[in-house]
Amino acid sequence: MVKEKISLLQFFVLLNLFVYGTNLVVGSGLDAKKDAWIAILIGVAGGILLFLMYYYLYTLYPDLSLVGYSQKLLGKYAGGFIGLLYIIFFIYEAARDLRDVGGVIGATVLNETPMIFISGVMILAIAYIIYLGIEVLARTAEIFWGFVVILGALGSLFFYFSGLIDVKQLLPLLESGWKPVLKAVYTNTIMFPFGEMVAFTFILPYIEKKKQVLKVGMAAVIVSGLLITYSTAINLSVLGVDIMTRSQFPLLSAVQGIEIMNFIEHLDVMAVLVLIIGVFFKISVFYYAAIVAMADLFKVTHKKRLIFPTAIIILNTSLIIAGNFTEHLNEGKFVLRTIFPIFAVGFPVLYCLIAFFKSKVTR
Amino acid sequence: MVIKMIKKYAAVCLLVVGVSVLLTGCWNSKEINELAIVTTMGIDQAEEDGRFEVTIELANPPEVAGGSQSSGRASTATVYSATGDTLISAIRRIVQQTPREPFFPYTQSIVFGEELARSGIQDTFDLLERNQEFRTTPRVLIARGHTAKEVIKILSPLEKIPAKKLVKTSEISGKSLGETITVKVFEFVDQITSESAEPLVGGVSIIGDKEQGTGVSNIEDTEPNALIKSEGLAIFKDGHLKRWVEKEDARGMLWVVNKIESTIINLDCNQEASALSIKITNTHSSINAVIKNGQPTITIDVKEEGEVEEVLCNIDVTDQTTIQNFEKQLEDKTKQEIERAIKIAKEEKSDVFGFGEAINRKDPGLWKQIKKNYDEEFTALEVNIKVDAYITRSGMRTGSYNQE
Amino acid sequence: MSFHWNPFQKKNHDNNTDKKQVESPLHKDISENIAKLKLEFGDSTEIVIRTFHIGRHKDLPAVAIYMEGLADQNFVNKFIMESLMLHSSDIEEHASSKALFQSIKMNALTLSNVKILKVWDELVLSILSGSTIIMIDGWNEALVGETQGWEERAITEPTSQTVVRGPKDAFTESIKINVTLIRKRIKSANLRMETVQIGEVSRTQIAYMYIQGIAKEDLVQEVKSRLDKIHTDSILESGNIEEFIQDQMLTPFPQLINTERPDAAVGNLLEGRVVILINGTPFVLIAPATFFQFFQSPEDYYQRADIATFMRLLRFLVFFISLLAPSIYIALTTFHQQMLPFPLLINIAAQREGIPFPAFIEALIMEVTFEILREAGIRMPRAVGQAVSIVGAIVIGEAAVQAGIISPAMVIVVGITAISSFAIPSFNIAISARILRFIFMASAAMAGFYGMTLTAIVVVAHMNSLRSFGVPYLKPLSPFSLSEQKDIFLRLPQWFSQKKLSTIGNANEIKKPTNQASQDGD
Repeated sequence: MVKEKISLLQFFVLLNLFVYGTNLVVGSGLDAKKDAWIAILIGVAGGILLFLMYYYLYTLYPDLSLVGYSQKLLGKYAGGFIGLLYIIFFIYEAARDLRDVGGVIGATVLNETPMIFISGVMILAIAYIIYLGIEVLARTAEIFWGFVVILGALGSLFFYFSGLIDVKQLLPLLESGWKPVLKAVYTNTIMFPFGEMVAFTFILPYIEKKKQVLKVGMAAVIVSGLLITYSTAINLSVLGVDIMTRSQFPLLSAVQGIEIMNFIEHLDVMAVLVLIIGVFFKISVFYYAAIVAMADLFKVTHKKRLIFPTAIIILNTSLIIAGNFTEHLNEGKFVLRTIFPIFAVGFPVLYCLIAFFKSKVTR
Repeated sequence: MVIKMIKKYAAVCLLVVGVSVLLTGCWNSKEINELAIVTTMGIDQAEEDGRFEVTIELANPPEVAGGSQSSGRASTATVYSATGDTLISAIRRIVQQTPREPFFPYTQSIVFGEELARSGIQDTFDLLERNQEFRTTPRVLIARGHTAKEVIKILSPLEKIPAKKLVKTSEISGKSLGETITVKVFEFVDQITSESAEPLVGGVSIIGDKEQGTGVSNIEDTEPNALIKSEGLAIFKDGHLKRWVEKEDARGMLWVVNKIESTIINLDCNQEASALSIKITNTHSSINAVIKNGQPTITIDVKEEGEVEEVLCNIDVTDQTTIQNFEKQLEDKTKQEIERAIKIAKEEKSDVFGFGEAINRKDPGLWKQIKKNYDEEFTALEVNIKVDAYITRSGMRTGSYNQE
Repeated sequence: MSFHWNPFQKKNHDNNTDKKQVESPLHKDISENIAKLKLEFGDSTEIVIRTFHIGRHKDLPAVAIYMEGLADQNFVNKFIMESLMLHSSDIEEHASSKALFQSIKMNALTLSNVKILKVWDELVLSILSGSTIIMIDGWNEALVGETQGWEERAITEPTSQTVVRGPKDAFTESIKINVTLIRKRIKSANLRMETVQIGEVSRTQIAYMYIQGIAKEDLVQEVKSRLDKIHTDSILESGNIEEFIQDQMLTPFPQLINTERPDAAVGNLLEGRVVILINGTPFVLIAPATFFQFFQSPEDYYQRADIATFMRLLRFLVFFISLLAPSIYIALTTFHQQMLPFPLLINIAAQREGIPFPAFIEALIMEVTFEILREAGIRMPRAVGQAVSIVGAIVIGEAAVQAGIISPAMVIVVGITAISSFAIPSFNIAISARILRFIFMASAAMAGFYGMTLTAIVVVAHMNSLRSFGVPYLKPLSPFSLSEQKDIFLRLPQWFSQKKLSTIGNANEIKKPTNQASQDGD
């Protein structure tokens, strides 16, 4: 069996796509109104702390996934149980993102198409890429990252040329002081998107050059954070805070306004494409993390056997997760506040502490 | 072996899914010639049967495109209307009359009848925002003194689609005269929902015989029976049309909101009134709030650049002092226009300039205090106007042939 | 298990081990040998068996055997018959009877390439390759003179890969000439050639060439082992070899380049690749191949860098047009009408008024029609070729539009697609685009750009899973390598840096060439 390897650049782009994938279109930090972008910027700092924590665990067990070291630290059964929770968490997360796609596509491009079809073809495509392995996934991400960056740069140019950007819309800074901003940081800019990085604890062991993981990972967190900040600021300055907070997909609304030379207009489908690509890789990472976790936990040697059944579980979960899109979004907010911190912060902190004391004791 | 079986199983599943998708798919697929392309939508107050009367204009592609598909006889567009309690129910009633489903993304303009505008249009935007088929970019216009339906029905020379005619007439006149503006729906919604600003909307009216303007014959004559004219600026307050503002007054408002691209200002020269025309080529204005002792004041800075376009009197445009005089006169004139405009706005208690926005930007705390009785605050607001005018060019001739 | 999937290979392999025969030696008596030969060749009339006496000595009966047509008759007459019969009368004086056989080789035969054979099978093979066999009564050995002399096609201009500027010679069907064409260009002793014979029946001569020191050792070994594993009846063309040695069977993408241009082959040799020549075809194979190589034309290196870069970028554009144009049209007109500029929408809507088919079916009809025309154009005798294009252009295009069956816009789309597919330098990759085009059209018809995006991701992922002799197919785009970008989308000037050979990958990059798919587990 050939051990699959991903390069640092691939790790960078994967993390990048993962973090700003859904975020670009769905938007976050909007509880802070005009200061959403400040909230996100602060969120990046939180993201860095989270990554440092995951990295610390990674340095202790460079060849093990989170499930692997949780069993080492907590024993076979307790650790295994937490591993099981993580599997459920990842499948749930993948299903949530799949539902996001179904929601956006259904609301914009294919509004008469049943959700099961939209989500079904997506999960099939993802299952195929997972089947080909993490290496192929990472390399494919590399190409589409370039595509997204080019589209993003073009989009930015279009915004400037069409004269939609009105920086005054961002003023005044801190309209209602720091309180709502910090609150928004806590509720919706750290956990989403950065808390989701916990899935990368399952991918870190595949990286080729272990020494530079820290540097590259930090760079990825910062770059993607800045990108989200930038796009949120652009959205705000184009749409104004009122429309922005009322929009389900702010980026789409903003892009709709672009009109250049009576020819370049109605570009929202392009924004949807960016979303599809971002979410595609995001689901892939969760999905893969779930597969790795399962394989590690149940000592499955043929990972590929798990792929197809998991796809079906994810698809079904995404369909039954909520009755409608509003419920889905509300549930998302609830989950962000309650379940996310446990998985993204709670258990990793626990592991860090145990590992730290263990090392003290052995010395 | 097991893997192989799973592979086979997966392959079969894929095949089944693929085939069933191929056979049943294409839920959203609509052929382009099955669409009824809506180019403009008019909303009026309904006289009976519900709240709104919706009028849509559908393009007739073969006639618009011309060429071999065109019969040359049919009109380039067809107008339908129906009433309903909500916009969408009215639109669905229209479908009763058309063989095709209306397709809205190409709606160029949304026209409101004056009557509806006066009784309030804040309820009409939810559909436009919510429905994904509508864009944020159609232009909003008010049919001045008419119903939207009447305006939409007028066929127009030069432009094949009446909707284009509406938007372009308004845009071009705004660009060259600076007395009307065309706002996009989302700008309009942004302002109408804002607590600290009110929208300004351009008006369109009909000159000539509106009954005669609806047939193909209207575009066959050299002098059409009816024409669309862009005139006036509508001031809104809480979603209700309050007043029409004309010519210089309208321009005064647009100076403040920085919407003037180009305009002609007539100046007096040698005691002759309005004998010299300046073409304004470049303007910029900004609104800033200054807070003194908890009392906001507004400063408006206007910079304008112009060139001498037409001289009907005896002056020397190469003379520096003459030019400086005119610059001074231009500044005064602009200032007067702005002052008059502010006075009108204050009369209607409609903050079309976004002064409230400026105060909020400066001091959000203060804004929260005065927000509640902003109508009074606005009428009492002190406004300082500062205008800088520059005349940069004087055309191809140095002197006028009137010169002795 | 073998590295590539081939249902026939295993069977052949088994057969082969079964009938592995003992090498049968020659007989001392030439009449026995002749009888055996006659039995072996049946009643073939072109085999010439000429008995004579060496140096007119009655006690030295000998026989010369060759195939008419394969051997050059004049050559045989002049350098074998004449020298053995007329000029060898004193042969006995030079040698004792024991050394006579050696003496004939050393003193009598005026041929440059003479071998001695002892095994029957090799003897038969030599006859079949045009050599002349000389057997002398009383010796269980035979002399083999190289007398091949069949008619060869002359070196002509390449027909399938033409350039404006560049060498005008092309490979021919003869491996000898082909090797010469390559050798002529690289005067280095490091240019190595190794030969194998493949095909139980056809016994085709296959050679692989590489430059020692530039080509990776692993790669050469891999090529050798893959060639050795081929067990088949016949190899008629490079395509037969290609199918046996490619990494992945189920893919529309070519994993080996073929070329009929010696300069292209030489260029690839210098970049460290292995060139495989097959006797009987002017197309040689180059391994390994990556996706981007199919967009390189030898002319890129003969034109100035800026022009070459422009042409290269154009080719990528052309590839995407050829791949996506009809599907984008379908997606735009049936799903995302709002993306079209208003005048264009009105125009297309007017054109489509009265067209009886949905856009997808319309596109399918036109694409299939075009594929038929193309195929017909190739098969048609040259004289009627023109008629095909007239029928195609006028009847199908013009009349269909006139009749209102097809919209003019669709004809334009299909036309640009067709022209584009001819502008791709490699025919192989153009075929891939043709096949994938239909898949993209179907996905566009089902779910618009959403379907197309997913299909694109899946296709790219599939390409990423491919390897050609261990080299990732999309290298150097993914895995990305900045230093190798100078000859991918751009063609930087040659002085910019010495062409390095890393496209082939360093030794550890070449993995065991397994299918990625079966990496995990089985």
